[in-house]
Amino acid sequence: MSLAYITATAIRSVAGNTEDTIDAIFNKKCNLKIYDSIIDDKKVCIGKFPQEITFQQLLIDSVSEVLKKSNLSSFHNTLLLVGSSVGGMATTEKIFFKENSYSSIDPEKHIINAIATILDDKFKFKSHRSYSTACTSSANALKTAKELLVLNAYENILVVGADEICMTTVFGFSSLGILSDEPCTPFKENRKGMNVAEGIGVLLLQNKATTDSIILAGAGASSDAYHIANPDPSSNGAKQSIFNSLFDANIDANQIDYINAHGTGTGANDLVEANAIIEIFDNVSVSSTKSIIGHTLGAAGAIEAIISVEVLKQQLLAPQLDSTNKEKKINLIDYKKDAEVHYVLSNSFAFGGNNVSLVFGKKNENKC
Amino acid sequence: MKINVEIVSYSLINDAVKIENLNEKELVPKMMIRRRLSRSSKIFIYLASETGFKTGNVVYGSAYGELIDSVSILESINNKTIVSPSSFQNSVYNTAASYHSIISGNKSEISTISSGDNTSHTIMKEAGLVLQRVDEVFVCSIEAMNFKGVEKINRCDNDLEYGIAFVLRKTNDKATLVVDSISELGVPKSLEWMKSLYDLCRKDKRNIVEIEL
Repeated sequence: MSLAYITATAIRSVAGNTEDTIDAIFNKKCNLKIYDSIIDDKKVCIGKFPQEITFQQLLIDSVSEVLKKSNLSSFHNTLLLVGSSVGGMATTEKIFFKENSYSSIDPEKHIINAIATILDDKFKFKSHRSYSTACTSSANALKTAKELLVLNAYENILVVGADEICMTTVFGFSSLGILSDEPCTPFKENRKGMNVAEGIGVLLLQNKATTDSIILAGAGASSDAYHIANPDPSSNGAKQSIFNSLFDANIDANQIDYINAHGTGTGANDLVEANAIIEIFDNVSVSSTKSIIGHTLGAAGAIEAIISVEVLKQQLLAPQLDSTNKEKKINLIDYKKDAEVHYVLSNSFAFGGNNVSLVFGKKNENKC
Repeated sequence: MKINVEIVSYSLINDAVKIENLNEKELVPKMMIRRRLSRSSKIFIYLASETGFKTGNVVYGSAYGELIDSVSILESINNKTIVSPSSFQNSVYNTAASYHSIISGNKSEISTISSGDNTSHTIMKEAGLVLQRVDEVFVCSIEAMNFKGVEKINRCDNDLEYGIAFVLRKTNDKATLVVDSISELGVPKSLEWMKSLYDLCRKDKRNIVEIEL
């Protein structure tokens, strides 16, 4: 049986490129901005890329960066797995809001698969698949990548989580009353909601280790079977997802040293996740990095996987922007901290009660 | 890596415009939930019932997702009217499988694939992977495109509502079916592969197909 090694990564976020984003995460440099001209009579705090460069170009740049960092000369023998919640919706919106008609819209550029098509045209992958389970999209893609590599079905798998900001998601989350007008404060009392943001996370997973690779050691999922948008208040779905990932990694809860929480900053999500963490773990270190780069929706699983990888590589716990006045007694990280980190858990939860938890480990751990 | 899977039950439903009888009142007795279901959700719940599927792992597929709710949101933003929270909640691609999980109490894993024209073939590959861990998986692929203005964007002669579902089990027995023709008038391209496989299925024999992961 093989293992799934993460051998090269890249991020594009509101904080900038990979280096900028990792620096922003560990040094609490929030890049979310408040806009008062998007929704009438309402301020929203969201994360948008600078307009000088297109999303498509950032997508290609980030994948090129991973190819350059990798031991591959091309992606011709690599399976591409894309996770996205909106695909080409932003392209559709630009045309529709300008022309007030669907006539000029190309369906192939609207769909989730539009992202994989852009990348396949450029890099010529062996094959490609796209996943869309809202905010767990790229976490599900990572789960599949891990399972395929363990079976030796593929040697190289590139996972891309990508979501461009669009009015559908900004107005949609606003209609639910969960879009904050300031940078989000996950797990805090009286938190005001989430910050939608755009982002791209790219991970190359291979069935052979490289000098500084990190293992995707476990992947678990579950369904709440409760409500189309609200999480199950019993936390059972979240807990089951976490248990499944620990079982898959063949480790105990007390071996997790840090949790990169889903932590959106909404009342319902954070309460459910905090209760799950309290019930399963004993004072484990936790943070939500969404307070710094926002909630990148379908890209969040991939981006937060890369942050988890960096925590393991640098042996540094990633802080949260504001860790004061917690609603629940969880051990939120306030500043970056040196720590001995063996395993990291990353949670992703989505509409429809779709839950995914991923466990990352250093490559020399006994049970990995 | 290749594995063989057996299709233990199968169902298909389609209409050029709108499928009329999805048995909604019997399958979803609670009116409050029934009223919120998207068209894809109603088709999913019908197909699950027809194949006898209740709980277990699910691999769902749709190339275009919840177009009707997506269009509703776009129209609201464009017309400066209030975006419906229900439309937004229902606009994600995994909506249909999620509503079924809520109604049936299914807490198992659900994956949703949206791979354009290859969607139905890809969900079979994903199902093959899932069958490495569990005994049975429900696969379902649906397109529901009957939104106001679809004629301006739909350049194909496809049925606007179409759904196919299989219950699959892993087997070590030889394949009995081979998909070699995948083009048929009226079938959305994303569903062509499963439709071709569906056409090969026979009630009086075992229906086994080889899947490359």
